[in-house]
Amino acid sequence: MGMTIIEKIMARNSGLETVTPGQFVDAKVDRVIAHEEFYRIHTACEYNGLPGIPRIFDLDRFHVVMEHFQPAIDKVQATRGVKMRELAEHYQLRHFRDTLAGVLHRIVMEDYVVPGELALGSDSHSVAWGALNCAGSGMGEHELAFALTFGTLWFKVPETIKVVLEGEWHPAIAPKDVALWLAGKYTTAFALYQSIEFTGPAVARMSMEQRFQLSSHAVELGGKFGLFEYDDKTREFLSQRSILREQLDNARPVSADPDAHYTQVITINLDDLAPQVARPHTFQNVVPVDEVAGIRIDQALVGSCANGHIEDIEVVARILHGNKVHPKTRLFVQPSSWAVWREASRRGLFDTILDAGGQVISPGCHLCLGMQGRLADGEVCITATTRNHKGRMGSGEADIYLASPATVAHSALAGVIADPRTSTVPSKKVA
Amino acid sequence: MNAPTRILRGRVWKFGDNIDTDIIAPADVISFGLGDANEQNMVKQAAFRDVREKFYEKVQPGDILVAGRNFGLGSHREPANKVLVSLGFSAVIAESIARLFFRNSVAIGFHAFSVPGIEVFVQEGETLEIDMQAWRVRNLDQGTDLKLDPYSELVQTIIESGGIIEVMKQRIASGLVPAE
Ligand code: SF4
Repeated sequence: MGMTIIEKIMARNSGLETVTPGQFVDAKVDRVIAHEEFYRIHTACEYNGLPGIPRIFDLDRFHVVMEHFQPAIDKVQATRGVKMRELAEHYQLRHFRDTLAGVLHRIVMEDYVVPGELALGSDSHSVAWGALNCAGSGMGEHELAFALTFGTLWFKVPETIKVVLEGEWHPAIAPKDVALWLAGKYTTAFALYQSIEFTGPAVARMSMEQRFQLSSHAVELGGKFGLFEYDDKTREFLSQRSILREQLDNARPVSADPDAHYTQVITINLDDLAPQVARPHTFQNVVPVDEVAGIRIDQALVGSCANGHIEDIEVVARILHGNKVHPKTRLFVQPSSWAVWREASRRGLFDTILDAGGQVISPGCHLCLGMQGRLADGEVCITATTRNHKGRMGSGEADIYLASPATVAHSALAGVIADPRTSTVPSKKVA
Repeated sequence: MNAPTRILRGRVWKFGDNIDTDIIAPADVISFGLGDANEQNMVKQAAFRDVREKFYEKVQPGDILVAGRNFGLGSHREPANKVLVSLGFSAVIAESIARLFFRNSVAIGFHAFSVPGIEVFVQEGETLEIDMQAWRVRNLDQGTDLKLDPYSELVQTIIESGGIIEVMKQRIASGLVPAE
């Protein structure tokens, strides 16, 4: 019997010919990536009576990026920054990124993630790395302490669900709509404990940034991994990397066998898909946009590991071009990295957004995590970020709707949730 | 190490489906803080505040949290696991538990069980007995039983050792230091 992508990676990293779902393995971990939780990995050891992390298995395969709190919003975060810098010295880290804010997942896909690897991150959206054919998954700090020390960790080999995308990517449809539709139909427990493989003719046509959007949301679908195969687009994206080239050159991408076993195969025809919106307060509370069109909004956001990329910002700029954001609505756009920022700036996208009355804030997680742009009781927000949990953006009495960048941008202009297919606001092309 | 507790008894608090880590440990109080006693106290006071006011005043040591599907979904944050301990809970039983939340529970040595059917099996305020020898849950008010899937050997070892860092310490102490 053939194997799925994750089965092959688990087998390879456990030194086994084959593995089967449900089997427990002690697998080699190829890479560990941490953001500010690096501090908690250290303190988890301290609280358990150790002086710190006993050992770091490979300093060239451990990367720490200060990103969640750049710039720090309060004294506690600033203090944590100080402690992080001390720890980076203490452990003599070779890859410690202190002053290049952004969203971890974007930064590490630009610089560190390697196809075919099993890599652990200190953040639930580490599944995003699956876009690059890397089996990335989030872990808590206790397990990362173990993985860093031994370079291995226990895993239960997951089953795999195959999601096949067919049809065309229409301008009003984004990978976000696919993720929302899946959660709406199959719930956020859809892929619980399982790996998802995204494949099919429409996946082959997806840009890398569209793939980031979908792989990020594997965790909102309950998934342990969210994997794409390696192709020319992956190669092209990675060819721009300027550091750790040798590790990249030794990459061994993995594809599934034709006779691999899947617990489910779900085929989605994009031609039949309407823009989707998740209502408060869960990712699975999904309806087609026309069912919520007209709901007043106070704030509109585009950003995060899922939607803070060049193409997302471009979609927003194209829709805003020559128009004005509704006077009673605040629109914030947050790029996912400084590389994205530079490119958006170079293309004039920020000017378009500012001209329309939108605002741009420096790269990072702030909007998505509710560190900036918090909501008051009774306020309503529509956001192309990752989560709409109660209380995620300030007040627990605020309503958060999730949608694609196109739906968010049209809604920002209209001041109410708007259907990007029928919105009356004229959308012109960016010059 | 003490002999592991194989029987837990506690009063039940019930929650529905999709209780996410933003509800359990709101972002503004962890705000990637220092993980110290001050933070732990703040998290404890804020835990579940958007669905139950002042929950920390109500939970008694040993109580059991019962929830619906996909308990603990969302952010990776471990304070959401630790706060169940600091609130006094002895275990969580849910229809299903999010992957990362389950792993983190095991990693800190806290009992977390997925038991389909638990929602209709018990009402809030009733007392449950979790028996990890007979592998069953008993509703002591109703006198009814429900099967419990045994932990895998590995998971059981980690939990009974008091978490994965204890396992790591044992490995190091026994000379199983990783090869350079
Ligand atoms: S952008 Fe949001 S979901 Fe992504 S890593 Fe940052 S806080 Fe997490």
